[in-house]
Amino acid sequence: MALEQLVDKIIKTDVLVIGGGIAGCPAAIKAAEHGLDVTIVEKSKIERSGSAGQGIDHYGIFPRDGITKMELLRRWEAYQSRFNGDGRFGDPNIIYKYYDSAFWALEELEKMGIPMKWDDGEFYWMPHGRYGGVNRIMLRVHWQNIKPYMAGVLKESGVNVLNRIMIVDLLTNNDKIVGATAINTRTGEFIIIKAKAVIIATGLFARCYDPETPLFWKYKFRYHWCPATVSGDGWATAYRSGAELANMDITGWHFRARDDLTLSFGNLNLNDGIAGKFLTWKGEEFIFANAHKYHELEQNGKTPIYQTLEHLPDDYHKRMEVAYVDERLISFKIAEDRGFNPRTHWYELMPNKPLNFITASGISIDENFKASAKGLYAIGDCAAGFHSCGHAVVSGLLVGDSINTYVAEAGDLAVDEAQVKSQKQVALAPLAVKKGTEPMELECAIRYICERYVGQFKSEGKMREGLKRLASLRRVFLPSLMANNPHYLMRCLEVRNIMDLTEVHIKACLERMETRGNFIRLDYPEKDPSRDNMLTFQHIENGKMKLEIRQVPELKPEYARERK
Amino acid sequence: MEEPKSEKRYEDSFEFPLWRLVKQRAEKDDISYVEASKKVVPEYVKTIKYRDIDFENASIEKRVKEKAKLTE
Amino acid sequence: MAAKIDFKRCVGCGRCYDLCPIDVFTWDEEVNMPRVTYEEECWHCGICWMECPKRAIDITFPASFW
Repeated sequence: MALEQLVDKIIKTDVLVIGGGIAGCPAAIKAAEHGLDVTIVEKSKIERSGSAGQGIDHYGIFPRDGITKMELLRRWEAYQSRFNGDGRFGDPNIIYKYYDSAFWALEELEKMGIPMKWDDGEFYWMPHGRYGGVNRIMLRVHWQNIKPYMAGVLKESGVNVLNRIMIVDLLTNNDKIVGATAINTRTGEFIIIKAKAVIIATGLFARCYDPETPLFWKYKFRYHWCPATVSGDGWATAYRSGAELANMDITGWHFRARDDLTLSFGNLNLNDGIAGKFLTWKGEEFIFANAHKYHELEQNGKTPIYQTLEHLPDDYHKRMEVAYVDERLISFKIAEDRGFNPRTHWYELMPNKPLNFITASGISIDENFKASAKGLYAIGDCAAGFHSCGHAVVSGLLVGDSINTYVAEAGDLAVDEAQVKSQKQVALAPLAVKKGTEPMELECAIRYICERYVGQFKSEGKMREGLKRLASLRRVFLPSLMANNPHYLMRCLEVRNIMDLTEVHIKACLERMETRGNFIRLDYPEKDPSRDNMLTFQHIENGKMKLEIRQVPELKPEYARERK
Repeated sequence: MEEPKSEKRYEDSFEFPLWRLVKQRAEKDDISYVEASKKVVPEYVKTIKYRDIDFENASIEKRVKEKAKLTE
Repeated sequence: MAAKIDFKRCVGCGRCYDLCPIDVFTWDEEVNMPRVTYEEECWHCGICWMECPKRAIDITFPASFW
């Protein structure tokens, strides 16, 4: 059967960017500058998609104000260790590159016409007191409308923008990625996109655990930092195509404000530099709690714990209001409707919720953001080893700026019709199921497995039980997923991704037989020194998951030698 | 019995001054909240000491010192 | 009830339907108006509410937020 008969649309492009967020957009714009034919696909609508959809209040980390790149690297690694314990959890060369490119990226953004300066026409470098002295290394920005700006620049750049398109799977030819299959989540069209290079920019993954505000009845999509669309589509499709994922054990357990979205995301922690206060319910202040500290407080009847901003000067409360506008306008309503006045309110912290697999996990990449499969790149939060808005933008610009070299040598590669047929069959199957399972029911069952059998305090027996149950769900309920329209088909595809990633996650956790930082094994309460600076990598080989433990690369000597 | 410190933390009605201004502007001009916020924020920013570096440093350092006492 | 449209204010511009990141709206072509069809999927992000030129959308937060 000819390809044209199999699919509703065939698109041919040089570079396919999967995900129109704060990483994908700059990548597409930059690649187009080099004269490449670029197509960007977005599950939602680019103007308001991704974690930057409602806005952002701060951008980037810059080596300035007396702070060197090496010092920034040291701080980043210290920050990682607060969650994950001793050692390194990402390639320091990638992180160093981010800091090294920070000012270049700033120039690029200005050239695109993105507003970077403050109201008086100068940069406002946000003060920061976390590491002792006051530093000014982050930009405070009015980016409530950063996504509409980016969407405008995309259009002007001639990038082919496809909204409401969800990727089904990647297409491979031998060991190369040659494109992807996708559905339109509103029309149901099944399309293929042939591409010489694919950049995945789909952000984080979280939907295998319950959100920090428990929603037992409905409204099950609730995630604080990243949008509710975080079903790990990029990770799952990369993994199924044979690419490697890293650190699927370390989700980054941390405290989350139960009353989240009340405040601008950044500002419960940033507040233009003044740290919040952590309190027990009796008002006793403490520095910072990790999982162990929380457990101790709980055992002693001192929980719930809270964070407050009651000590901020009036001027800083006004700054918070401006930050609400820049980051998440709905924050005003969420606070006022509930009577949570930031000047007096104590924000209950929920312990032990995963940080959207944020601190280290994702598609395994090298220093050039290349994934392990040829022709595949990963940028932004979906790439392992770093996260932040600044990093997303910089990684996108760097890849967009250099991908023409790969594309020039990629050649034209044929798409395997049998592969397309198989992907289409799997993807559209729920449309034919009449009395089956609703996708949210299966998603909740998967989340329950993670909450009950994995969770914060792990042990082998529980995790093996969890895997068994997950296997049952896969056997019985995956084939009975039903969708009576393209919207629910999207949800079925998301659940498939969530299920695949959950299996990878549990297997990674089983293999880490130690307790380190907030990764806690009740059956292995000590740290295993042989795991220092050793990370978990997983990929599919001959239809089976292969797990390797490899050392984090060392920082290149030429970087370490630099003075600034 | 110790009085819970929590009661005052749930205020029946309070308003954010900036949000009040945004809502008023939105209603006056009959525009979206996004459009109204773009018009209102620049004026509000002028009432904030963003460029007072001494004030910022002092405020931050005060808190840093308070926190340092916790470890003692 | 998460996102709710006040049809006395709504002028059928379609912005909410166009922008919703989680796709809770459908478009009713007969009356040229949006509908909150996947109400249980709303994550209260407020994008429809803040973008509506007629401020016709109200957001109600679920009980477990309180």
